Amino acid sequence: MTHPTDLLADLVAGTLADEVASAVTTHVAGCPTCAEEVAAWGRVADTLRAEAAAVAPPPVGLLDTLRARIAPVVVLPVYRAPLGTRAIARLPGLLIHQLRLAPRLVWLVAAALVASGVAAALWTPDAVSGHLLAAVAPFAAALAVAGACGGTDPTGEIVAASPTSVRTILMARLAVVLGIVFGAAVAASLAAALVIRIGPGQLLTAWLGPMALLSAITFALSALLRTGPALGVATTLWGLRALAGSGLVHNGLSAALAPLWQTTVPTLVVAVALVAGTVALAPRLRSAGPRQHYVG
Amino acid sequence: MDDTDRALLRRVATGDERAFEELYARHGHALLAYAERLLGDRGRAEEALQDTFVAVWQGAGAFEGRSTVRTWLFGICRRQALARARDRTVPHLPVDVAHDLPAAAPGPETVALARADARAVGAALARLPAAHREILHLMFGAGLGQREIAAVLGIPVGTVKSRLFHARAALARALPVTALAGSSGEGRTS
Repeated sequence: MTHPTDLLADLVAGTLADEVASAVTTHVAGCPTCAEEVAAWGRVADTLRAEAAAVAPPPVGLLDTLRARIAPVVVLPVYRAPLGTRAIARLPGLLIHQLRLAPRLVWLVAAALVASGVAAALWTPDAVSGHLLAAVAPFAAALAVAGACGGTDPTGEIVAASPTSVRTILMARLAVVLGIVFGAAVAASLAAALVIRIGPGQLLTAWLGPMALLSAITFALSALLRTGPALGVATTLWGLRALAGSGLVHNGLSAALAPLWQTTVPTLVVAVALVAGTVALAPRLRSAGPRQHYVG
Repeated sequence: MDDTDRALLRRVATGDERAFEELYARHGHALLAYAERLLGDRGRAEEALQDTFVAVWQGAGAFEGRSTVRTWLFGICRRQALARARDRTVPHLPVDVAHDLPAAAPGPETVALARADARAVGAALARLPAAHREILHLMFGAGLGQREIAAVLGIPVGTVKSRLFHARAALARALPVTALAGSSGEGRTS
C-alpha cells in the first residue's frame, strides 16, 4: 500500500468513512512514517479542539434576542413540492399555509356561529331558530371573507411578491376561510336539527344561497377595494334584508332584493361567476395596491 | 445527523419556531466558535451568530439540499462574519505554495510538530495567517470533512488538501525556536 498521506488528516479529524478509516488505521500501525504524520496531525487537532472548546457557549440571552428578532419576520411560504410531483401535490401544502395565515378572527367567528346555532335550537321557538341561523351564517361568512381576503394584513404584501400566482393564493385563501365557516354552519345546522323539528336540509337551504352570494360579493369587493368598503357593502345589504317587511325599507326595494337571498340555482351561479371573475382579475387588482403604496 | 438537520430545516421553512430553536441548540455553539475565530471578537461574533440564524429563519426555504445543512449554516455564518469584519478581505495565500504537496518521508517539521508540547503549538497557532487558522479550525475545531470545507470556502477539494498541509507546515515553522531545537535534537539522536 502506498502511504495514505492524504487521508491522515481526515483520520485524525474523524471524518473518514468507517471502512476507509479502519484500512488506514491498519496501515498506520505498521508504518512509522505515517505514524509520525498522524502524531503531527494529532498535535494540531488537539490544539484546535482545545481552542474551540474554550469558546464559551452562546449566552442564554442571545436566544431570547433571536426570538424577538424573528417574531415579526413572516416566513415566506414556499409552495414548492418535491421534484416530479404534480401541481395537485402542492395543494395540501398551499392550503395548510393559508390555514396558518388565516386571521384568528375566522376561527372566532366560526366558533361563535356553532354556539349561536346550538343556542338558537335550545332557547327559541322552532320557527325562529331557522331564521336566526339564516341571518347569522351568511353575515359571519362575509365578515370572515372580508377579513381574510382584503389584503390589509402584512402577509398580503409579501404573498403578493412570492413566486406563487396571486390567483392561486386568493383561491386557496377563500377556500380555507369559507371551508371553516361553511363547516361550522353545517355543524350548527345539524346540531340544531337534532333538537328542533326542522330538517337539516331545510335549515341548510335557509342560509346556503345567501351565504354564497353575500360571500361572493364581499370577496369581489375585498379584492377590488380592500376590507373596509367590502364590509360596509356587506353590512348594508344584510341590513336591508333584515329590515325587509319592517316598513323601514321601501317595499319595492325589498321585493326587488328578495330573490337574491334564496337558495336557488341563479343565486349560486351569480355567486360562482363573481368569484371566478374576481380571481381572473386578481393579478391586476392586487399588484395595483401595493405598488401605489410603495410609490407614495 | 444530517437527516435530523434536514427534517428540522424543513420545519423551519414552514415557520416552526421550535424546530428553529432546536437547530440553534445543535449548531449555535460551533458556529459561534467559528465566528469568533474569524473575527477575533466575542461581541461581533455573537452578532454574526444572531444574523446567521435570522438569515436561516428567512431563507430556510431556499436550502436546496446540495450540501449538508451544517455546511450550509457554516457558509451563512462565514458570510455574516466577514460582512462585519474590520478588514473585509480574507488574507489570501501566496500562489507558489499551492501545489507543493508533501513528500512521503516525514520532514523535520513533521517530527518537530509531533513532539512539540501543547502550549508551544497553541502559541504557534496564534501566529498563523487567518486563512490557515480558518481551515484548521473548520477541519478539527468544527469537525467538517474536506468536501464540506470546500463547499463552505467555495474552493476545490484539492485546494483544501494542499491548504491543510501548508497550514500545518506553517504551524510547525511558527513553533518557538526552543521547541524546534529540542525536538529536532531528539530526532537526530533517535
